[in-house]
Amino acid sequence: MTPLRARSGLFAPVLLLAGMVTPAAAQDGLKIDFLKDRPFYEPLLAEPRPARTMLLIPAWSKEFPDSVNKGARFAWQISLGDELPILTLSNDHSGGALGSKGKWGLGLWVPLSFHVIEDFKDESNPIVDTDYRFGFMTKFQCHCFETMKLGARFVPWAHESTHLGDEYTIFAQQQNPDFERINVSHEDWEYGISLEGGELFKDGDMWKLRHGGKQPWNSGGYYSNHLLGSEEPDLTPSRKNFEPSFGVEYRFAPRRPASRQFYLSADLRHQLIYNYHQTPENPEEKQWSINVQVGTAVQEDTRGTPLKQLFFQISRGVNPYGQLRSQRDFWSAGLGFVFGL
Amino acid sequence: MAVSDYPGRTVLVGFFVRNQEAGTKEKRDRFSQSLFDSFDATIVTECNKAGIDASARVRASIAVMANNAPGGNSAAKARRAVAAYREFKGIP
Repeated sequence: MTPLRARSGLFAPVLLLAGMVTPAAAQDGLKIDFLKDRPFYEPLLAEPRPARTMLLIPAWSKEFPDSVNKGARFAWQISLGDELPILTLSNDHSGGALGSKGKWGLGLWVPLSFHVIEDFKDESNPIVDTDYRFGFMTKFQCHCFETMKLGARFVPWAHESTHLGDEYTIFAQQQNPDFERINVSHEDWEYGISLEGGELFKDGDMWKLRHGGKQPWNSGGYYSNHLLGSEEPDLTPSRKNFEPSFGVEYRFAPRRPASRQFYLSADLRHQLIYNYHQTPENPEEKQWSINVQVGTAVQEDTRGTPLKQLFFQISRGVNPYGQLRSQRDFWSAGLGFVFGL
Repeated sequence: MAVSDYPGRTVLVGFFVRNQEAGTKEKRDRFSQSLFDSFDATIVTECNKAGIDASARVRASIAVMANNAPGGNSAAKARRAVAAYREFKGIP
């Protein structure tokens, strides 16, 4: 399926439902809420860059392309963010998760987040990179089957801005005369589809299957074609821009009614390895990147418990940070904590 | 589809817990119907198994408990709420 076909096909049910929401229908049987969150299509726990607040500490990673000291290092990662709810519509009036067959929900959120990695091995513990993301997100979920829910997520527009740390940049310039500061910044669209259910093996367990994809709107790809401070188009634009993803998650049945659930969650995506100077002999390549989490999480629709997840995470593939996405076979691992309200 | 027979006072409690307001009668009726659709069949089955007299008042109370239980599965939430009610009533 081409990205364009996938995009238009997935948007169809959202448009169809939007068409159903006439003022008369709204008065008749739809619950409409402004600025109230509802759990339609929650991010997969192992999704690498959702808008949520996460610490990975203690954590280690492979050295970065221009690290001064070589070898693996202690490097913690911080993500701060949330999916800010704007508007939700649903024919389920319970105010929580969709409760029975035939119920559906649709909404608009603003995902906003930033992601930082700090290196504790090089001098002065440099912030290596900070990435900022925000956009608009529509999410739809239908309790279409007795024990399964079908969902779709579409981000029509999101912006990502990435910033290499100043200390990392200074050290890189000192030791590498060929070092270039690339402006990785783009607008993109993204889609996702989800099938999830429960009672696969035991009362109270849950499973999820996910597929998604993203691509920049810019014809120039993921980064500028010139270096910062220059107008010369010295860089070759990215071309193999579409990045598909696949995810799977299983939550074991809780041992007590309100206790946390043990889970396994994995996200696999075919990511572009940025190549700023492509030639026929040195073309762009892609790599499958995997992120796996094993841990415990509060049950879905839990409110008032700040610590949402406690887990061990290991990831391998393309470096996820800014211009360092030119690095293949990057790895990181650590203990993670997710917080929320 | 069966229509909710949950009493208004219990529905008001459930509605207030979620929305922090009384709402209109129309809104509470829709809320009541959503709870009924989500949980009532499981509640009736579980109450029958446990020998609990499943009056509308009892089922409505259990449905409100289920609606505020964590989890992504309505049947599991309803079963937990019935288990809590059994414990409350001292039914083994």
